[in-house]
Amino acid sequence: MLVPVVLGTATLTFLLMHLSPGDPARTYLGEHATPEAIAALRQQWGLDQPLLIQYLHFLRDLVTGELGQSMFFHEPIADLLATRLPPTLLLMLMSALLSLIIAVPLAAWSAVRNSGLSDTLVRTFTAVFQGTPIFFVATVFIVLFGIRLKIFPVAGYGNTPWEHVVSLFLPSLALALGIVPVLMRSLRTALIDALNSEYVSFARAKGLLHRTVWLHYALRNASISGLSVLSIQVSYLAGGTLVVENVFAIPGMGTFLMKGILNRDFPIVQASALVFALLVILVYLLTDVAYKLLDPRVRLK
Amino acid sequence: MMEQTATAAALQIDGLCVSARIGDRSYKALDSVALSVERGEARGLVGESGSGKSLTLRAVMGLLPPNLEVTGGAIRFRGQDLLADGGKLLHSIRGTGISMVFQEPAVALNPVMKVGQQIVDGVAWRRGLGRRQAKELAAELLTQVGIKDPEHWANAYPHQLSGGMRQRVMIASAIASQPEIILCDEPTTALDVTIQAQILKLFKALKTDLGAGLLYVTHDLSVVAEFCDSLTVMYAGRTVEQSDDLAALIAAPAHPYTRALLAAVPRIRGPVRRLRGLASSAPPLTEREQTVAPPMVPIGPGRQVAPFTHEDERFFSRDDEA
Amino acid sequence: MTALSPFESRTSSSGVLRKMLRNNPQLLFGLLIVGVILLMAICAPLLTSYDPTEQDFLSTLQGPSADHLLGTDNLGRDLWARLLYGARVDLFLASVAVVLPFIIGSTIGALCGYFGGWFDTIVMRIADIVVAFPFYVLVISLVFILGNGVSSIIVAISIISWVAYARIIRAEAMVLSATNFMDALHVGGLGVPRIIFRHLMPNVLSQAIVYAMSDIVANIGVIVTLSYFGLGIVPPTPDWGNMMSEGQPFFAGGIYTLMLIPAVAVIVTSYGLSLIGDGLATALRVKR
Repeated sequence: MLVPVVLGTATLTFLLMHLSPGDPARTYLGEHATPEAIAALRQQWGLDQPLLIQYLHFLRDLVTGELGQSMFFHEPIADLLATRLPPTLLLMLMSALLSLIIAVPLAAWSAVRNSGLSDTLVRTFTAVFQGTPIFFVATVFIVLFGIRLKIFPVAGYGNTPWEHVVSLFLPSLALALGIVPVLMRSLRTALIDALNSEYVSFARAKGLLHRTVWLHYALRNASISGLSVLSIQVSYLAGGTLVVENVFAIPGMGTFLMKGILNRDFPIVQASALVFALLVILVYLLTDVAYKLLDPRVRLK
Repeated sequence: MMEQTATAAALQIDGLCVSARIGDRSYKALDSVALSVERGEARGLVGESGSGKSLTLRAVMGLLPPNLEVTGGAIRFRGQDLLADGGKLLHSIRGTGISMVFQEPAVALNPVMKVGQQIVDGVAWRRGLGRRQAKELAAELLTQVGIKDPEHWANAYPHQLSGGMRQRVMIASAIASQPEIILCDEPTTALDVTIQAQILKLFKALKTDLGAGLLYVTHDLSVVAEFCDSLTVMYAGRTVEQSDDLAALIAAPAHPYTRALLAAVPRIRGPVRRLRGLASSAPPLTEREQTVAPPMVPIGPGRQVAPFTHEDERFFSRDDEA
Repeated sequence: MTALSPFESRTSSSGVLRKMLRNNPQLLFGLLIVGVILLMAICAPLLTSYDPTEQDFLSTLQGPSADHLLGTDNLGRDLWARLLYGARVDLFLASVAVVLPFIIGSTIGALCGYFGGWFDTIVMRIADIVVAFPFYVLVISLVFILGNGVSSIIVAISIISWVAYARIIRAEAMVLSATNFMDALHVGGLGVPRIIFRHLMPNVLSQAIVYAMSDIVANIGVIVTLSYFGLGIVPPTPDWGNMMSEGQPFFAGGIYTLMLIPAVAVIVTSYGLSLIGDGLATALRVKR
């Protein structure tokens, strides 16, 4: 399962870049370049070779961790990516945490008050936030908390770990709000199911504390479906970093990819898209492990 | 049993009414239910599906679904009304004085918690038991309900157990705190016939060992005959007849419904009779009379029956094939 | 002879529709919102006399007035006109970018579910690979490769979105083809394509339709985001995304309307579409 998908994503990025209509060498050198110069550059980049040979070279480089050279920065992409990855990872982690911090209490509240009103509120909240573009939320946050109230920095990543966290708070929140509705809604359904279940009745019949029933019986069971929803949403979070990083000018993977696009730097676009995909696959793998920890029924099969 | 009858019964339900809200109307799901259980007694509670047997147990446990509420009557535990103080007393009695065995262990056990922990988690926090003590207690209880290799099974999850073992776990959890009353909600219905017999045997053994009072809900009269001392019959949310002596009731059922119920049981000994089904099941909740049911009247020592009319008599004795 | 498909009901469809709407305020409200917005987009030339691209440097950044219903932007263009014409572009794009993957994905999914085997395996592997990429990353990379503009946006979204429909339909088709319903059709002597398009599709489409509503919302989001980054609809053609992008500096500076107006348009439209999706899910009893 894993190997074909990783290989497939690599192949897809390769094909995308090599089957695209434009010639990277021509794009790179500009419209006034001589045919000789273009041909020379094509040779330098190996673009004159048959596609299959290029593909095999690409795979060989990939296995050795060689992601090619940036056309624009004249630096190995692997080195560039190494500095770009941490802010993006922190951003994703913080927004996943924030989305849980927001979604779990809301889901719990609305599950306990399982009435028409809470249902309408949840639906409205979901519908409104799902349709709000992340970049708009991000802009509102910058203007409100950054410029007007001056609580958080307007942009950047800071230098110390604490500054990183503070700088990424608003971006993470903007990103988190994108997945809170989905998360809250599915958690709410799972919690209502759990609360109506016989095992919760059994727990109550044992005279357990309200808190214990909630934590060890209701929430513990609901967290399983919550986790699967969160893992699906990680792909959204990864994509969202592309948006918020560019609005908040965070030097991460998202701004890197965008820079590659604006500079028409094919190798960078190719490498960052691939790294994004690998990141998502990695998270799926981690969720699988977490899943097994949470659900004994999966563990033993 | 003699000295206990002098004081209050361990569990006494008096005129219990439970109403269901459906739309903006309210219907009586339980109407003037009355029964009592002594320590050491096994009382059967029979009636067809929907007669309110399980609901009665859930009302005692304070586990009514959100659209149902107690609207009248009293549930007394050792003479104290559990409903009087807004549920505080009930909370303190749950799992200590009264415990419950659920009908379907497959869904009543938490799928993500080890069974050992589920058996003792209530007792463990109340007594402040440490990890090891809790484990020892769990193993002890599992042995008591007839599970071999208890240390191994205490660490298993519910899905790894067979249906019979799950029900044993459920029972182990119910007896963990040495309660005075154990409510059993059709504990063998979801099991295979051979497993049913084993579980029933376990209940019999526990009854004598623990000295707890059992309120045993079932629709299977052969189970009642095998192991109950006394019987209460419910029909359409009401208690229609009860006797502290099972044999007396079976010998001479007073209420036409009880007679119909007993007539539906196949007999091996005695004259050959045509097997009869019940004439008619109870009307659905929304079509029941909303008047207050008259209380049962005594018709002998330890025996009561709900007043009935000739019309009732005809209704219940009607042959289903007619 | 043939089993009656559950969707081939005998009651008149208009009667069913009326009943559905009466019991379903969400659906009604959603249809109302989206209907009004669609009508406004279609009738744009009747609702404003301004050209959305016409600049007027004598009246820039004006507030709402009788002349300019919502005021003007920094280049003196009428915001109301830009909003209406922007709706045309965005809603058209978002809809086409749903219909295309809907058709492609449903067809592929039905074929996978029906035939199974190596065809199914290969298609589902490709699907796994496509969705391994974050949506925004792949769309933006694809638009970068294909070049800006309407058609590349549609192609880019279609390359990704077909997967969801294929998966929904495939799962349902597999369940259906395992039931007697399909056997009955086979016995009835119907050909495979006919079985797929006349009987299998109507049965499984309701789920896909419900999903399509949230898909349109997602499409609007990605289209305005692309335009916001200058990768989608290129100015001067008005689009809610590039309107927001152009309005952003003023938003930070305290002139909120330039960015806020298109943002509200996006949010309200999405809200209406979500309501329709929810309402349809209730009406068609699709589990979400």
